[in-house]
Amino acid sequence: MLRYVLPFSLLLGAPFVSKAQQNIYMLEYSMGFPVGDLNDYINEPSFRGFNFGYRYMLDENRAIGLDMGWQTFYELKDLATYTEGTSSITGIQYRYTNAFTASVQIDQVFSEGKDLRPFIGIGAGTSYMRRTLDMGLYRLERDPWQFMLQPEAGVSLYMRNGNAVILSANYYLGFKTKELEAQSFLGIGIAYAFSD
Amino acid sequence: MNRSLRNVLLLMTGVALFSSCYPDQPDNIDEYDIVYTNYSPTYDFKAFNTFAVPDSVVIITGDLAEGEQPAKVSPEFGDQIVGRIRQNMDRLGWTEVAPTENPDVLVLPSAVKTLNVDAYYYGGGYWGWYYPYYGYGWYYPGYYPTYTSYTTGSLILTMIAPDDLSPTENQPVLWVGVLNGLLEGSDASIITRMTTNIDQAFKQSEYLQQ
Repeated sequence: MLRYVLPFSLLLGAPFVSKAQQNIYMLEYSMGFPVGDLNDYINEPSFRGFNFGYRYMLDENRAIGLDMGWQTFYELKDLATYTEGTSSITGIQYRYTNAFTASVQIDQVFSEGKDLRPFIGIGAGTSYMRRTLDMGLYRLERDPWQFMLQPEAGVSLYMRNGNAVILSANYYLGFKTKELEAQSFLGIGIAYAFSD
Repeated sequence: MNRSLRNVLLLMTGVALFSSCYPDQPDNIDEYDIVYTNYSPTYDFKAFNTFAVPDSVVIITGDLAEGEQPAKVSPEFGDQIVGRIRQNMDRLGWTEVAPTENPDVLVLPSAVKTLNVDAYYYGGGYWGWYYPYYGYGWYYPGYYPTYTSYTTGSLILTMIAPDDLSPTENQPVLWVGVLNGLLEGSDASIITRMTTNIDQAFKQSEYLQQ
């Protein structure tokens, strides 16, 4: 075990010497946990998520940039009867929501010069929520664009080569539209970040 | 770009490409079956007691010429359908009478069959399956659309009151049950699914109980 731990630890201990006005790119795998109306529709976590991020370091502690992501939620509802008014329908339901998100983010980074650098941020943008219901041979679909706020918090772990591993939590807070209730979820991700 | 970074990029790109927007789809034919029912709240079903059902099931093919007889479902299926309707009406406390004995209601079964042809694009496991109606009009070079056909069918059970019959007005419907699914597989499996779904139509309509 030690021989695996040691090389990894050697990666640490070298503070990432960031330069002002530096470009940073992030590729992230994310898990999604639905909340609110999305949770009512799909009561299952998602392990199918992928995000891309870009940050421009304004100085040593502040960054501005862009996040784009895709998270797929899915739940199989066993055979059941759904009644509304005088009508009832029985069948198996396949429920999907594909969330495509894009936002402009501003981050505040703490612990300058350390290996572990916590950060918080806030962003605003849009989410394209493609909600699909398959039942029998029929498909019902709604796909609104919703205004979205995206607060985030996390920690960056810098490595000797100047790249970083980032653990983060993002809350994708959608806003209600005429077509659909607000669609929101919590994303927990692990990202690999590198600079040019 | 160093090797480890390239590996990470390749891995994450691979994850993205192999992730599908629709990760699971039905595996068995019966998973496509649905049973729909509806009724008119203006009728009190407890005010009725007797029913009649025809001996055969009509196939809906479109408008008929004057004097033309409608096509019928083969007795192999039709007898099963009619028999199952009788069983369920009996279970709910109704009394069957002949159509000539002035029944309170008639339960009329009819069927619709449709042949569907779809095109889809298979990317050799690289892009996944994309049906044209998802909005993707393109396909990866070298992979061409494949066509498939399947038959779908609906069995429609309509309950009407003969006393309401009018030659000029639309016929009011007291209750309707629609069974929809794929008409694929062996005759025996289709009959099994059909009888199960007829039972379901009455099971979810307990207001028909006498």
